[in-house]
Amino acid sequence: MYKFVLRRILILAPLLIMISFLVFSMIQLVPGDPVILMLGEYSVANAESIQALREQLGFDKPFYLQYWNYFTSLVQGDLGMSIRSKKPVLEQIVQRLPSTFELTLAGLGFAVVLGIFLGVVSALYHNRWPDRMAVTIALLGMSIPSFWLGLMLILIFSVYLRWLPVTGTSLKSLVLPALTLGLWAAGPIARFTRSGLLEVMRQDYIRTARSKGLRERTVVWHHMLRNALIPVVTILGIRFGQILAGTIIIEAVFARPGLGLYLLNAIVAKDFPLVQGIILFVAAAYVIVNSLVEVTYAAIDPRIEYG
Amino acid sequence: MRKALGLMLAMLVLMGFAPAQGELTVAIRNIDYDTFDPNVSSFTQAAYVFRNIFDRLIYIDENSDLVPWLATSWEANEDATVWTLTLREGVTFHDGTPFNAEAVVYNFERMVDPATQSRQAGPLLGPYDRTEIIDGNTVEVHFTEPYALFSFALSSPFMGLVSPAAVEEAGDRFNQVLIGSGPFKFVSENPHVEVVLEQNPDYNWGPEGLHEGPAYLDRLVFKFILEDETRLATLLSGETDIIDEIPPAQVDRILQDPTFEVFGAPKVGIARSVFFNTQKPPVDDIRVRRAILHAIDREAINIAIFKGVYPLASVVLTPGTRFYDATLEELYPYDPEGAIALLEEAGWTEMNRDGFRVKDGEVLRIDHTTFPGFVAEAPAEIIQAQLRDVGIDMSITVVQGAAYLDGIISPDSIYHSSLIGTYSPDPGLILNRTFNSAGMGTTNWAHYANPELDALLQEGLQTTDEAARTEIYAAAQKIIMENAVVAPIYANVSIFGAQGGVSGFKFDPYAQPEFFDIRVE
Repeated sequence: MYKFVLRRILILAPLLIMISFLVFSMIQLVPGDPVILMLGEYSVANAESIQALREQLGFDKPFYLQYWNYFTSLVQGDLGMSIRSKKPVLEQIVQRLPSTFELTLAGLGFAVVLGIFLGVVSALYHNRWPDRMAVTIALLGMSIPSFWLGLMLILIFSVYLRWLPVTGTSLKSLVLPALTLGLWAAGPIARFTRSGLLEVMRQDYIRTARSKGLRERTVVWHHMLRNALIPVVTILGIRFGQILAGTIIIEAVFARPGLGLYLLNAIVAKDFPLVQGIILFVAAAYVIVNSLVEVTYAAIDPRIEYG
Repeated sequence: MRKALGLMLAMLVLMGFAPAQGELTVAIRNIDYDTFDPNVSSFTQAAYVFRNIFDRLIYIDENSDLVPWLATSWEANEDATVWTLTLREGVTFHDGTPFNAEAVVYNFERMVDPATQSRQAGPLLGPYDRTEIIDGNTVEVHFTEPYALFSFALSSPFMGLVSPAAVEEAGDRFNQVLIGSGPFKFVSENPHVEVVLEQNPDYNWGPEGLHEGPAYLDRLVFKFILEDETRLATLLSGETDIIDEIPPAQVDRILQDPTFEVFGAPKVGIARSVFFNTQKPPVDDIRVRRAILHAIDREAINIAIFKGVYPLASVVLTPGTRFYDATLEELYPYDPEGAIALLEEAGWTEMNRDGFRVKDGEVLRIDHTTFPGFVAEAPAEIIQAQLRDVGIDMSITVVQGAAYLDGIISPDSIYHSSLIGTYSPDPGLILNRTFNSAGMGTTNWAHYANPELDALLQEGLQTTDEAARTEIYAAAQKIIMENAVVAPIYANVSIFGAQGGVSGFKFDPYAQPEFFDIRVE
């Protein structure tokens, strides 16, 4: 188990270096000269001052040299400065991480509760109306575009009812975005819970448990769900990336200070160091979360062991 | 009962729930601002914030007249190579540093230092050479060439003056300290989310005759909200007092409710225009460009998309810009017949099965690039339909962010045109930047080179004589329009919405909101 975790961490370093190179190359393909983009439409900067700015930022150097400069400071733990805001990249990421983390966690939490609830309902009432209703809710959650859902929630709860703020950093302001994200992410969880349960229900040990005279609640929650959840946990790990991506739109709609929206801006502005920094962070988080998921398998299912 | 209420109120106050007296919250669209260091930034909407923290030497009032601020007077020598500035006394920065001749020298040197990476302030100093201190409150600014627009340049919000001591102390982190001498002090920033400013109680040096004493507001809070609908929702729900960038189509909806008000200021300068790549066939042909100008019905665009809120533009400069030449307005009336005649004269006589013109087997096709949204993408779609009527096949490529600029910056770009404009109350610097051949490959979006125009634009920057400048810029506008270098479409407008209780809301000629006179009921 420890060896397994250690191995995962060791893999992370070369992986991140590879990612940094890939991202660096890919940004070169994005159209736009970062200096021109930085100046925007309204600058009075002329050709001369633009060239001076380019040299100052090192953009006049060839690609491999630019990457090498970046790489050497990266291995020293320096993520550099954002070219647009001239603030340290690491500091800016750390500043925004909590907000995205909060939203992802709250959204995921809501998605898990709602998803498992819907999944259990539809499996237990297989092919009856509660099943159909649960499946419909799950499908709706997945298909309604989250920016539209977000705006509708804002209209209802903030503009008309005035119960919740549109934006902000308070716990109250987390409710609507978490709800939007959760509804979107609950669908797959519900479906996997449902199919997992349906499969498990037909197993012999369930019949045994029932014939032992166990209460139905114990059978469902203890014997069935625990076995049915393994694919759900896997899906959570894989979906983590998608949920992180989903936060971009939700952060935009609710004007939240998260990483997702920031990354989008950084890409559009061709702010190399910032894009790099955020992607490296997200990639590391992705690897770590998936490693954690694999560790959780063992906790849920004693048959799985890591040597 | 009354006692209980009083107690509750007192508790609320103690808990910090009572609204601060005179707090104003402003929601701003652009979340991708760069920095609030005025000497580094180039973002207009960053200036909405930092103009409150940093004073300038000269103010520009609603009539585009220059008004004394931290400079009480200014004067140029005969050929405008040396400017003498007299400075106001008794001004201190928020950290207690006195404002004087040394501070001015420090600021100018900082703006032009390459290490500052100034995007707007440095370029605004033009052919700056050095500044000499004459006495504690007088400086002489020397230029390597005549620079007639220096006093105007000093009125730009990007010319905000920073505290030398604070810059020395904070170094690279000055953009997180932000010490100026303005009516508001910087309190905190949650990047791209919220900035909080508070009143500077000692402030007593507002622009002459415009404002006396400290600002009326205790606190000024800026929130950055990208989504139009979300921003509007915060105004409707009462979370914000003022929001910017209201889409014209929403203006009526807001005005239906008498609790809200709408304010607008046209952004004067170079009109949002179709800039042609004048070196790329088929729009290298002046007849094709003229035909396009005649084929575009600007009025229809304005009504369909801007609900008549945006002023039409018929000349490269927008009405209201200094030296605007109204006599050129009738040069290109909407005239599809005339457009067809011009295209046929240019040899585009055959038609293919799709109804587009063909010459030597080549279809008359224009690849247009734009950024998304109603200000540029929507007009492009209408222009596309209008050009179709005269047999021109226009394709539209929508590019996210400012990357569309890149498409038109290179002369060998794959695009023929883009819709773009820029603004400034005095057209001298922006015309020179946009149409001087020296800007080829960077800022000359039309890739247009004309020695006569270059000479005019250069001369316009070097003479302080207003009558001479009027003639120069009339001639420059004429050359640009007669050669159909651009197809002007409309003048952009800065539209703000506010709660009814907000009074004293004004714009300066840069179409930026002015906060020092605002009160909240």
